[in-house]
Amino acid sequence: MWKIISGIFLGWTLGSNDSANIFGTGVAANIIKYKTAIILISIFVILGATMEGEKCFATLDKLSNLTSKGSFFAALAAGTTMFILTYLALPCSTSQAIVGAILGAGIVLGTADFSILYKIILCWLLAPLAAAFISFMLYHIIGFFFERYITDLKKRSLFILLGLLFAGCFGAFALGSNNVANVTGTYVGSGLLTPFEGVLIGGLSIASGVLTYSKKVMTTVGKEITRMDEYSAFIAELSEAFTVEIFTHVGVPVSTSQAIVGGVVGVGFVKGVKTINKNTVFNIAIGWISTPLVSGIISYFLIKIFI
Amino acid sequence: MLYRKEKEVNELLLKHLEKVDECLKTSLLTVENYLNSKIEDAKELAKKVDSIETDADFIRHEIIGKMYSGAYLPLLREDILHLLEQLDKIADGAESCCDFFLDQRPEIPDDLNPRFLGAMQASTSSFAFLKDAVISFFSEKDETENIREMLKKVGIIESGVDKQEWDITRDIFKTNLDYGHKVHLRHCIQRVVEISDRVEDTADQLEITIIKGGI
Repeated sequence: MWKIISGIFLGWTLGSNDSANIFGTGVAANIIKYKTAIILISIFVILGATMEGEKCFATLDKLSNLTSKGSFFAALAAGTTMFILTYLALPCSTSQAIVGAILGAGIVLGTADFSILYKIILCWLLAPLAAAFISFMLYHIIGFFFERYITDLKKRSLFILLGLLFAGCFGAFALGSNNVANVTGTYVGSGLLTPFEGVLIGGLSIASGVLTYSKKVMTTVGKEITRMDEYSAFIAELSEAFTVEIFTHVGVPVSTSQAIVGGVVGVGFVKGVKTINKNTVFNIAIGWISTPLVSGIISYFLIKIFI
Repeated sequence: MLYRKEKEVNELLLKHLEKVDECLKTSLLTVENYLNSKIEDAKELAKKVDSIETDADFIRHEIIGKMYSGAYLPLLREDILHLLEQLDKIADGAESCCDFFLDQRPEIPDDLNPRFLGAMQASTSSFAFLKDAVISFFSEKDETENIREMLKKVGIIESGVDKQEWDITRDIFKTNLDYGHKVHLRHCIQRVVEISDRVEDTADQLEITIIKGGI
């Protein structure tokens, strides 16, 4: 069972980094208390993981047949990649790191299957675009009812507060359901864990990252998003949650960081303002290539050396 | 207990608005008495203006405390507090105008006396529209268009007051008074029109808050 330590480490880094995409806005703007946010995220991440987390296992399993040792090194490579890229302040995504790591390990072991890769890459490309589209649509649809039926300032404040809470809980649920496969998918594929054990341990390890090490990222990333008004922030977060949940049903883990960027861009389109600069788009494109590549190389050499 | 904090803030805001209104009305009476050479009455009224302004200030601090205990969302909270600050500056302006008259005792020539009073009446009159606009802003109905109309009226009155100031200043400098006296009267009329300038600044702040609050 020691082999799942690298997966728990990966889940911990995921939880500490990605919780900012969920409640970052509310916490940075002092609408929601940090403690309330991390408790809610943890509960809904575990719920999402245990209720729908198994849906993404199959996709990762098809990439390569790994042994339990191979799974350990793949998760270790993905976790190390996340750690290095985060340290270098380069954009990275767990979903992209684990895919690179599995393929790197699969190449050494001769079990890599690239046939499903097109679907995964297509989903990575589509996630921010879908989030932007959903954000654009939700802004208009919810905005229509908001402007028409919620005219009182008190009711508007309450609506947005509840909306941010709902979007946050939904986002946490979607994070758990979509990303738990990144954490324990390789172990389930290798038979080291049953699917239920996989979603439970994965969900708990993500929650541990949320509860112990998310404050710094949540407040810094959150402040970047709160430059928008609260309604726009609510729409961006809701569209991110919808997008990630949709890709859970497609069965492909995607990046919540890239989905929230899509959501912010969608709001920018409505308002005719530039919410994201060229560097952010460039960073996403770099992340799509660098994260799986670095992770794949680390995984390749770890397997080469130790197996 | 839904909206408890917001309701408390709204009640205090309306109380503050009434105090500012009372402050302006009393300052108008103060200047009116001064211009009619009833200095003792004017002094008493000026003390009352000072006390009303202090009351308004206490209410403002109470509102700030309530706001930071969690009423409204942060961005709206900032805008409301800015609006409150601007409203308070109107009362400050009225107080400072009365102080100018009673501390410096400007000697207003008889032919300019009714025009100073007219300017003071016009300068304080714009507040009535601002007051209605603020009340509508915190009401439960959507009165955005009505509020905008009221705010436009504030702007129109302010332009009229500016014109009066320009004409009075020109006429002051046409008189045979000594230069120091002319400058003193010029300062005096500036204090009078400062009130409507502050009312207009507050109206602008309210308009910004409305625009930012919309989608």
